[in-house]
Amino acid sequence: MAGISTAGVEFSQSLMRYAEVEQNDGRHRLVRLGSCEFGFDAAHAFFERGTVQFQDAIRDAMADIFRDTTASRFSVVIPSTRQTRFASTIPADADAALRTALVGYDADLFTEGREGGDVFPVHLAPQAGAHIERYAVSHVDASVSGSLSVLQPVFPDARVDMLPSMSAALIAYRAIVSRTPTTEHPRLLIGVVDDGFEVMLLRGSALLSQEFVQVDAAATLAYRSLLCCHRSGFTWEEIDRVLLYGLLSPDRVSDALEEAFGPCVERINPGVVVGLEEDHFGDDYPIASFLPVVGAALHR
Amino acid sequence: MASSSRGVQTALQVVLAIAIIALTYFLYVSITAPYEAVERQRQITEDTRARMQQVRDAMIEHNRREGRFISTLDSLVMWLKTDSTMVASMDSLFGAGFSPDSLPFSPRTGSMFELAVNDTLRTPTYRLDDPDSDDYIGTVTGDVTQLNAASWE
Repeated sequence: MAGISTAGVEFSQSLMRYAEVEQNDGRHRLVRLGSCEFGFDAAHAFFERGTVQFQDAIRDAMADIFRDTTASRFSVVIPSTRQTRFASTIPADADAALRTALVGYDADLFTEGREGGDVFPVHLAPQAGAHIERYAVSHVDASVSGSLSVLQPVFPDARVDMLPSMSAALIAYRAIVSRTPTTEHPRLLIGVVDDGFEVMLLRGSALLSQEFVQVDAAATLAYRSLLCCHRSGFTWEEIDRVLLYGLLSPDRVSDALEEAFGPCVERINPGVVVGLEEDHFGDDYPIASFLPVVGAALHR
Repeated sequence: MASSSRGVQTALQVVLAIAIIALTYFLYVSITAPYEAVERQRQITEDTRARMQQVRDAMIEHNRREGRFISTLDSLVMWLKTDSTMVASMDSLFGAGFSPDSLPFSPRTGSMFELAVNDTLRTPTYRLDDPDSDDYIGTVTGDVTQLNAASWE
């Protein structure tokens, strides 16, 4: 099979992170990875469709960065703050139409009937003996998905799509764990993102729960993470590892989590998916912040 | 008398040698036969998974070119055989000697794979099932994190 190239883009305040990956027979080759700093709030300019100059600046930067790209798909990471998040429970024997209808009903309820928009359900691992399926659902407003039109003219032959931040991180995490021996111990995957923390509890590659925690204090994050484990029936001692991604300086977050979970807190390196081990990067290179954008680039 | 006794001894040695050879053969077969059966099974599973991965590649290619997942395996085969771009790039995409007609069928039993597409959400998803095992690719739940993911990967 010939290689298929796909790209991911993420906006975080004034920063734009990007990655492009070529996939061929289950192997991944990194085409490009990096970030671009703008002199303005690029996330606001992109998602709120700010002034024309800022949008032009983003388009010009994209055209320059991806000038020789062969990517057929660009996935834009949608920050958790720009999603409405809720949980849906659906009978295990529901067909696709009923499942879609029930998720749509919940979306209507939680978005107070806002017209349009898109839902992204993520299947949570079933509980033993349960006759229901649980989904963590992200709803993205039509105004947010409309912002993708900023990029479409730059890549007229490619498909410009979007992916919720936690889903993107999850895709990259699963690609990482598929390369390592499986463990049945539960793990926490925590993202330090704009205005909050993304907390996911996993066992192997199965997602047990996920939530976006909008708090400032690292100690509160540690408490909410413990609570997340407790709800799924795990104590702090059972957590094998706490893996961090996102904006990880200063170290207050890892310190608070180490206090709660012990010395099992580490930064995740999404580079291993494309054959780049930890020592490939300098100590101060924020490779862990690229997890969602690498996941978006793996989405095809 | 002595020569008759030697004759019996020789005959006994021949019988014993034949018995040893026969028993060695049976022992060899009893050890290797189950292993060969397991190996055969493993090979069939690998072939079936490889065929499912080819279906996945074709589905991805169709989605990439047409902007949607095709809803039946028959239509997928027809598309591969009639789309001029696909006909021209068949060997480079799927390897030399690839036959689109065999794509929907499991090498394990000849049963047809089962395909279901959910295109009711922004990102459509599909699920491809092997009816003879628990192997599958993708999901119809609309969960984009499972899109194109094989259950054995």
